[in-house]
Amino acid sequence: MRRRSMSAARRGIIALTLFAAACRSADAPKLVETIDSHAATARLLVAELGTQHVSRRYAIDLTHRLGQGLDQQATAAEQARLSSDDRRRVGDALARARRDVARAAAVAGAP
Amino acid sequence: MKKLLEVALGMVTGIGGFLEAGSIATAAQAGADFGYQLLWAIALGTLALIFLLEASGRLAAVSQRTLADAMRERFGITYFVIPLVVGLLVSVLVLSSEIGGAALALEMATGIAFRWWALPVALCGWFVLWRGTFGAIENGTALLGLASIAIAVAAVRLHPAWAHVASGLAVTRPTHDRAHYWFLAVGIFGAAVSPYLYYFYSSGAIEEGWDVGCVASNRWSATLGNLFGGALSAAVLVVAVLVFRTRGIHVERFQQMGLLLTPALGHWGFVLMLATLGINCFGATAEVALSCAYLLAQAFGWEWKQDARPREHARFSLSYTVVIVLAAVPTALGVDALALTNFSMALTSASLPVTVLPLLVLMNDRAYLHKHCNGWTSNVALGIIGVLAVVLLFVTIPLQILGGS
Repeated sequence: MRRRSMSAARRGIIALTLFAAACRSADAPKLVETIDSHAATARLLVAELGTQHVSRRYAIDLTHRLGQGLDQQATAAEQARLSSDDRRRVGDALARARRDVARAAAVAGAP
Repeated sequence: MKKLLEVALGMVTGIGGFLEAGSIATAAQAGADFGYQLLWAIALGTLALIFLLEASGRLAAVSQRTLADAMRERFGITYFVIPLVVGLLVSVLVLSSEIGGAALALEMATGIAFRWWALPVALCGWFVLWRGTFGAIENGTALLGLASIAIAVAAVRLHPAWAHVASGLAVTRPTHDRAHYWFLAVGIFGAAVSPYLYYFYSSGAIEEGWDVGCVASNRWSATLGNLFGGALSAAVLVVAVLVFRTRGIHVERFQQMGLLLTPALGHWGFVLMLATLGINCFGATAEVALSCAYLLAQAFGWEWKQDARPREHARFSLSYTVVIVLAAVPTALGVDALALTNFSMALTSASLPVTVLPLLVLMNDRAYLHKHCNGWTSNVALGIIGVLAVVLLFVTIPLQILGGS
């Protein structure tokens, strides 16, 4: 009896998780917006580094986090059901963002 | 003169105490994602906090009982178990996010990953509680927290269109991401009215020996202090609109906050933002841990007084020691601080009914308040907050699923 109720609870949690995932499923415009946001953060960082407003340590750390964020978006894009056009748009945005983040990392002197 | 000083100190405490990980994170996300549209939620949260703090302070000053004491006495331990458990759970989550906020400020300053800072921050917080007096903790962190005024200076220097800013005070429907909009509104409200604030405030009133003569100064310091605190929270939102939203940046990591003030204040903006985040989160860490210890001690009838030596009130001291160590664990394990903050602020909103509704009853009980019972204004305000709290209880979890980050 106890085992059955635990199994029901587990099924409930799985159903809730799937429901939450379905509600938040990634779509192309949302993915592009998030990726562009990372790129914009990287550009702002480059500008602030140029005027020496922020420390290099901070910039290196932030570019590392932005890179991690882009990896997460790339994984989300792979798992999402996207048309080939949308997949290309997301891919282009990812490429642009990676360039911006790499530039920020280079300006910061990241290893 | 003494009363004036008390009010001034209360205002400073309000300014320093209002801004913490939750209010900074939710206001910055709101500004970046929805412009000025969610300013009304900050205004609503500020007004609600003014009424809740004024009521809990008046209750303590007149009845010589903290909010927890009065709730346990009036409704019995059978009911009080609910606000006790809910209050502790929510406060530990809030405490975790404050430790995370302070640890992230240190990460941004040193480059050492935030998870390594979790235990040192908790240890420093514990040391301050172990060695410090109530006044030193409350006023010291609040005075240092005045660094937050830099956010208001940045907001003015960025020249926002004030007419647009003012338009955000009206509740409007979002044009996109509705669930996320309402989730942020709930989070902003939760960040403003965390139950730990009024448990802490009423316990502080007893620690400081308030009496009926403090009713007026309590009203002024609760009102003015939180108005200033709310204004600073609104300033975070305004700066986030002008720095993040105009560039298409969404706030997805606490680390982005390091860039919030630099366009307006240059290098000092970076330093002051880290100081604001670090000091306010550290101050909130000490206050939330102390609030948990107050709640536990008052629930179980233990001796409690922050100004006494720890060994004189051993169970009280042990309570904040255990709570602060427990709360450091999520950050030490590397749990994302922004997600934790959003989650804990939303849950705080959901937990409000168990405290707000009993407070409304207590504030109308002549056995406690005598001639200082609620007038119609306070009753209407607390009634509205109570209804809102019940609504939030039912909508928070669905919004967490649909709109949480």
